[in-house]
Formats: sequence, structure tokens, C-alpha cells
Amino acid sequence: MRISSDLIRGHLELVVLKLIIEKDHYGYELANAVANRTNQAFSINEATLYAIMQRLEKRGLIQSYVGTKSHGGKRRYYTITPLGLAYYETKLKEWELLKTIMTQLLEGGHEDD
Amino acid sequence: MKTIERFVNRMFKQTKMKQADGEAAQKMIEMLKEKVEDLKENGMDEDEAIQKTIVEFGEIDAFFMPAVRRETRRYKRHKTVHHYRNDLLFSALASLLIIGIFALINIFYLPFVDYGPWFVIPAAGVLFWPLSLLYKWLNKKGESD
Repeated sequence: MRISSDLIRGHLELVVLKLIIEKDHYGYELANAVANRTNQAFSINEATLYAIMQRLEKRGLIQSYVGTKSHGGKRRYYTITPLGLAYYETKLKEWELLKTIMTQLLEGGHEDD
Repeated sequence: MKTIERFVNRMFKQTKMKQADGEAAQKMIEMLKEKVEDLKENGMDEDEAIQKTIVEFGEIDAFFMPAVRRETRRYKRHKTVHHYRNDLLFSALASLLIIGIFALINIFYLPFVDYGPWFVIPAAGVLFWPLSLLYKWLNKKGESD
């Protein structure tokens, strides 16, 4: 089953930041990492990814630099900034809260107690 | 690789956005070229890799939608302000004309000496027309600044 992109759209920034925090990535590598990590259940197209990268870079959350790959060709790598790291921490807490709320709401709770 | 450049430039051109120039397009071209290179490294031939990259690209709207929406809103606001300004000009001229006609009637047919300056009363009523439009115009102008 593939996940609808509407469901995850609001959290893609968080996903991209997480991947960049782990290690510097270049654009296509990020798209690949998303697909691989989810066993192809979710993939992100370049247009969406590009939009996110531009937004994050504009807000100073990530920075780009031109590096080289082992096989030769030049790659634009993205790296996290201190601001990006702080933003990620905040957003992660928000996500944890959302996860708890959704679990409580959808998996039933003790509202009658 | 020229195909990729043409593809990106054409897309940016279609959006007719200010961001269309320079760096944004260049970065997108870079990103797509990186993908082509990676696909080639994995054994795909160049033409096939370029095709796959273009097909899988997705909708450019994902990138431009917020900007397009912003531009549309700005344009609509600008149009509204323009519209209200025209209305105001029209109402001001028309009011002057109507007040003038009343004043002339007051002077020549129903003179001041007998009837007093009565044209002031309809004139005051008519003035509310441009006044209300002035209010609306200033409000809209304030919003769009």
C-alpha cells in the first residue's frame, strides 16, 4: 500500500531535515533515501523536494555547497545549520505530540472514565 | 543534458513568475542532472536516464503554487483598489454635476430671495455617495499596502 501524499505533505520538511542532519545529502540522494527508508511505500518527486529545499534554504535552516562525488560529477550537497537543528527539535516535539493525539483519537481511549 | 536545461527553462518560462530567472532554475537543472548522473552510474544509458528524470519530475506547481497564490491575491487587491478609485472619481464628478444643476435651478428658477439656498440640502445628500466610496477606497488601499 502506498501512502497518499496529502497525508504526509505537512511533515516533509521534518523528514528532509532529519535526513540532512544524519549526513549531508544532495537532492536526488534525498529522494532516494526517502523511498528506500519507506520500502518504496512513499516517494517524493523532484518538484516537491526542490520546493522544500528552496524553502528551507531561504529560511536559513539548511545550506548548500558544491562537492564532488566519488565517481566524478559535481553535486550540490545540503547541510544543516544551527537554526535548522533548533527548528528540527521544535518540529519533532510537535510531531510527537501530534502522534500521541492521533493515537488517542483513533485508537480509542478512556473518555468515559 | 541540453534536454534537461530546455525542460527546466521551458517550465520556468511557463509559470511567468519573477523567480523564473537565474539561480532557481539553475539549481533545479543541477538537481536533475545529478539524478541523470546517478541513473547512468547505475547502468542506464543517457537518453533513458534523461527521459526517466523528466517523467518522474512531477508538477512544477508544487514549487510555484504558494508564489502563484500570493501573486494572484496581490493582483486581485490591486484591481479592487483601482476599481474603487475609478468609482470614487466617477461619483465625485457626477455629484459635482448634480449639485451644479441644483445650484443653477436655485439661482435662476427658484431664487435665493424667495426660497433661500435650498440646494444645499440635496447637495448634502448627494455628497454621501462619493464620501462612502472614499471610505471604501481608503480601506482597500490600507489593506493592500
